[in-house]
Amino acid sequence: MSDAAAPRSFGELLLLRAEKQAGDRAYRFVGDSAADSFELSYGELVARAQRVAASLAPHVACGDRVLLLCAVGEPYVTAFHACQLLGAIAVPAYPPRGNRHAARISRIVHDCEPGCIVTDRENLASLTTALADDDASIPAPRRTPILAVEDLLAGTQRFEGSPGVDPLQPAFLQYTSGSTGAPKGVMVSHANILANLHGISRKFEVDGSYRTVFWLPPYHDMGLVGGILHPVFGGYPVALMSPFLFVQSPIRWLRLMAEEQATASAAPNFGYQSCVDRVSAEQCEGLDLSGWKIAICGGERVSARTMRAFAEKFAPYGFDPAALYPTYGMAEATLLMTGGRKGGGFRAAERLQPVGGDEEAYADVVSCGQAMDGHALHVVTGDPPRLCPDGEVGEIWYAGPSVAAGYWRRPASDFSAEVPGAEGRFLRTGDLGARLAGEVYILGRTKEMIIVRGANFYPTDLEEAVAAAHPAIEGSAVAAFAAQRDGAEGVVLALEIRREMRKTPLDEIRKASTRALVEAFDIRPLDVVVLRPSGMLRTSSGKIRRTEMAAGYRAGDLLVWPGDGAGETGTTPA
Amino acid sequence: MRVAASIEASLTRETIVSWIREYLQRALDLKREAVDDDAYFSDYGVDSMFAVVMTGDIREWIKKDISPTALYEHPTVNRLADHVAHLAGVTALHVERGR
Repeated sequence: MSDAAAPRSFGELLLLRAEKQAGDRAYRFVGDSAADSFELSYGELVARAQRVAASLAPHVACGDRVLLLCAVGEPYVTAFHACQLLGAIAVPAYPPRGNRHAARISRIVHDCEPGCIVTDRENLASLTTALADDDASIPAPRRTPILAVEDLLAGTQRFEGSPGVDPLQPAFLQYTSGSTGAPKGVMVSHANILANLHGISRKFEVDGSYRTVFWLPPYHDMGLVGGILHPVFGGYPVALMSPFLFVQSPIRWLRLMAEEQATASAAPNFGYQSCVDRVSAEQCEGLDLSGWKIAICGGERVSARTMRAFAEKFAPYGFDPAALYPTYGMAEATLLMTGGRKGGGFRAAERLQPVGGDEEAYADVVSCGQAMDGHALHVVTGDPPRLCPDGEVGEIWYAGPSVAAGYWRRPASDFSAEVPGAEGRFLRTGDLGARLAGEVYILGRTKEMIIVRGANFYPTDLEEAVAAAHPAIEGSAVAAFAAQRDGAEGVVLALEIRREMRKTPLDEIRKASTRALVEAFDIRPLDVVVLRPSGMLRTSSGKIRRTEMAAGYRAGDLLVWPGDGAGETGTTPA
Repeated sequence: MRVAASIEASLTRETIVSWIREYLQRALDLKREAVDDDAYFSDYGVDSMFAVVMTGDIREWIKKDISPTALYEHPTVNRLADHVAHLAGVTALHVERGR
């Protein structure tokens, strides 16, 4: 990475790549069959992005937002890069299927006020309808043009300007769940991106032989920054596959790794666990994973059990367990925050006994290595805050050039916290961790946020959706909390039913709650526990104690409704 | 290939319907009588992860490609069974049924 004129924005980087490596493959888009797969060189990629940019130019100026709601694949990537050439702020999200997620999209539209929305022909009609009759509680956005990327590509003009954008301007807004139901857009600047991409190259020791495969979608921070932006920074080829194809048949990921002779790939823990659970020996026949040098795991908590099982299962096919590379990161710090030594494999602490206090020990926690170069990580506790010594559990605080300035149009106090003894302003991550022998271990969360398959959810949002699911549910007595099952985190609901409706079949209540959660958030709960009246654990002021509810659930001592069979077995997670 | 051929030969619309029913009962922890062949999958709380995983299991079973979004395009037991029968090449005689 020793380019003479260092680019100051992602758009400049893209143009530089097209100039130096016009004929080299940038992306291969992998479809269902060989016929659906195709490649784009850097030259072709930029030519396409320039056509889309020229068509977008009448709608957006530098600094305007462009909401991207295309299907996963080449159109998404091209539209994203077109925004970068214009100096526009891309807002990656995913198109609603029917009315699902439509309310979320409306909230994003209202928050970021995009100059236009880019989708594809397939989604154009449904999206127009979904946004027209959206949630009436949200003020209707001004008429935002909705454009199909195929039409934008059909133009003959090319936008050949250079994006003269301020490096501190956001390149994209990464929307994440907000605690009050309103999604918040992390403002990831060009400077943030370039710093993070540089840090990633250092950690992963990217060299001329580096090739990757990604199946994470472009609206996920790992899919976007790791799968779409970092290849441009490193000038190496990547093969992109739809997450649907991976989830349908996880062997496709491993096959593609071998076929591409890829040296690197990344996935959240659930991706590795899916391979453990759903790849058969028959499917692995002839599989050769010996070229895989770094198997990055992040985006949700890394499970030692999953890592071990993956290594054991695929070692016979040439997979090197030392390639496993657990990481810690989040969109608020662009993507990557910490990682270990490449080729070092994963390391788990069998028992991590917190220093001070009489907390129980954490078992089998995975080391996530050290902060990236030029960044600082501290473990902090107390009010006023103080630095924790080695072994003491506290909140992870992080500082450095990858940390975003804040959320779009919101106060940024969580991004600029200070602690005596450490220089600079820190991002408060909300994650609990400890440092031991110079390595960081992530243990849980101070906030009650739930992470399912790499996506964040706030309990209050989930509870609100469930409270209205059935008239028998006591609306003020619904708790959503996280539980682990088979190495994966999921949602458990606990709720009370109204006294006057206690004859309602419990199955009906459970079904309605499940359906409500799926419709609003596309998550199927691991379990729905119906509690006895006053079975909810609360503080003296009546606030639901979710952490205690989660502990009670794990221990199997919640006060479940008599005869609630599912609740009885449900309290012992299968 | 021999396996695929024998599966095809043994597939009828009825076996497909019962396979889908049993799959839902097992995976969603439902009672047998709780599966209504004309109810939408979304009524059972099927999320997109479940829906795509299920198409993967169908794919493994019939040894034929099936769209990952098949449960959205064919959202009931009966409609999915028709689709799977079509993909698996089950003869029209088996597929015909009263609506």
